[in-house]
Amino acid sequence: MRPATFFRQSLLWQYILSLLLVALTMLLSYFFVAFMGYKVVALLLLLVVSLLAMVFELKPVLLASGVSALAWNFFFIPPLYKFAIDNPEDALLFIMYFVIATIKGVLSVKLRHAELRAKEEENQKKMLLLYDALFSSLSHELKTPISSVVTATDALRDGLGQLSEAQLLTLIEEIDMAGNRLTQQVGNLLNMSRLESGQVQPHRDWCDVEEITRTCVQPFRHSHPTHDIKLEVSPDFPIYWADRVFVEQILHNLLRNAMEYTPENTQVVISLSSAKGGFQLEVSDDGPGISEEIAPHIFDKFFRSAQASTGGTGLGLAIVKGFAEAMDGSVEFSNRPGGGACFKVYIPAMHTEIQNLTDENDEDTDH
Amino acid sequence: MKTTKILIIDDEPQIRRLLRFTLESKDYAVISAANGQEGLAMAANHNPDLILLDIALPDQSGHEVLQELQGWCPKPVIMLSVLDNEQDIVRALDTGAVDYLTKPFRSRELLARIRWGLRYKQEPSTSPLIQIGKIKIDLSARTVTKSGVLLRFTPTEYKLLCLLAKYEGRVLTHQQLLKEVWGIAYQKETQYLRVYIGQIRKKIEDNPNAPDLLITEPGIGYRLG
Repeated sequence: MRPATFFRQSLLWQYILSLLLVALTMLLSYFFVAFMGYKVVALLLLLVVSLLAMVFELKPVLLASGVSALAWNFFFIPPLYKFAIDNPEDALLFIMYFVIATIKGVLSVKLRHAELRAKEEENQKKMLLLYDALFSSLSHELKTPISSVVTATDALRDGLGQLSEAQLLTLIEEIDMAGNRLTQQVGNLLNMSRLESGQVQPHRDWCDVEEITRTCVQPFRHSHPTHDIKLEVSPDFPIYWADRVFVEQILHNLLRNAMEYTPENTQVVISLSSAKGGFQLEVSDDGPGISEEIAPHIFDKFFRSAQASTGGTGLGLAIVKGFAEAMDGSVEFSNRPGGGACFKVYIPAMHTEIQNLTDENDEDTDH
Repeated sequence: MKTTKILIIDDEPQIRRLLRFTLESKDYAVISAANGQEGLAMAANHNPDLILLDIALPDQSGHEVLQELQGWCPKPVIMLSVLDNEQDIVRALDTGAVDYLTKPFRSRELLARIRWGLRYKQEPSTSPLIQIGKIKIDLSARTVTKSGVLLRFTPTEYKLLCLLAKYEGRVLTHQQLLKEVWGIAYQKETQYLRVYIGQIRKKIEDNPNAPDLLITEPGIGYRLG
């Protein structure tokens, strides 16, 4: 917990600090009262109470204004060291001080609360919008494959004994595709909710990022023979201490994104290279790129561009960002000078010193 | 010929029905249980040849069932699990399950795992000659050949390859491999494993970048064949 939050939350501390600050101001004023006169002390105290009202709750602020008024009277207003006031001008000052300090305190605190409420309401409105987006996207993305399954099953049942082998295979393929799509969507939603809950901790282990990448690319080569996927790995790219699942998710979603938003015959290049204190994954394509207007929003949850084909939830890039940040890394987007989109993900990670073990140093590890 | 009997322990009726359908169509005899207690009773009374055990059961965890089975039932157990709990799978494999499948899985995969599971029971192969694809390992002569051509390995590579080969088709966890090849002190040093697996692949695979012999089970371990 940050100290500021702690003081705001613990009321006892607020009381103690209010009194301490008032006391400190009194003490300092006591030494300098000869130079500035006791009336200026009231202004100083007023300043302190105003400052307290900006941070603290109402009750500690009221306490500070009350105590400071009484103490000012006791220590500074003649007759000294008595709760009494000699001349009417001082009495008026005293009353005015008390009233101003109180009003100032009450108003500041109220204002702060009103601001907080407004912010909360705004957040709530944003959440509702997000939920709306989620539900509409969910009902579409989940119901489409489900309806494929239902329709294909009906067709199978109704056509028993009449369907040709080719027709049967078509229907089976449809069910199969629907299954894959559902698996994919549920996986994405689970990931997003894990990231949202803020409880995603990386489980780091030694990762062969190159192997992870090759495994990740494989299914895309089959599902998108229309795209030319290239993998470039810098020589001697080492093994890194990272979370395999996170790296996999980042790559998978970047690739899926590239496939979805680029036309056929687009070349997609994945490059892995070492970077300062970690490594960099880059996924770039020579497709149409992303317009400047929507580029700032692409990492937002449920954001989907108008060019999007069906089959996404608008979660992909938000998941990329979430997992990169969960490993203290970052992701950035740029349009390539020659056209096309480029995503660069940086992940800080240790790398292994062990490479190309031969018989000699093999012996060291053997016993 | 005696038919092979498979016990399914899973609380989802639909999964049980589909597993039964798939297995019976391949001439396996199938018995099933919906919870751990029932499953243990069936394992004791019906003497199945192989058990498919779901990790998440209503009455007790699959881990507990597995633990108890290990005490008196020598038959191979294959764990079934939903996506996303590698720690669970590793724990089950280290407890003695011979293999695992994550839902949703393909029936082709299921049948292959069952075949391997039945073949090896809990024991590794004892034959001195192991043939996996084009690779032939002669344990007594300590030689490995690929399509008849002799391959050279460092002692550690050889040890690792032989271990995987003895359990051909079965997944071995990172911990199992590290413990056997490097010793108990190296159980966290997966970096050695990654480097050595890469080196072995360069020698035995036709395309080390798309291995089809030495397979990675992400987050869990490796499998040969």
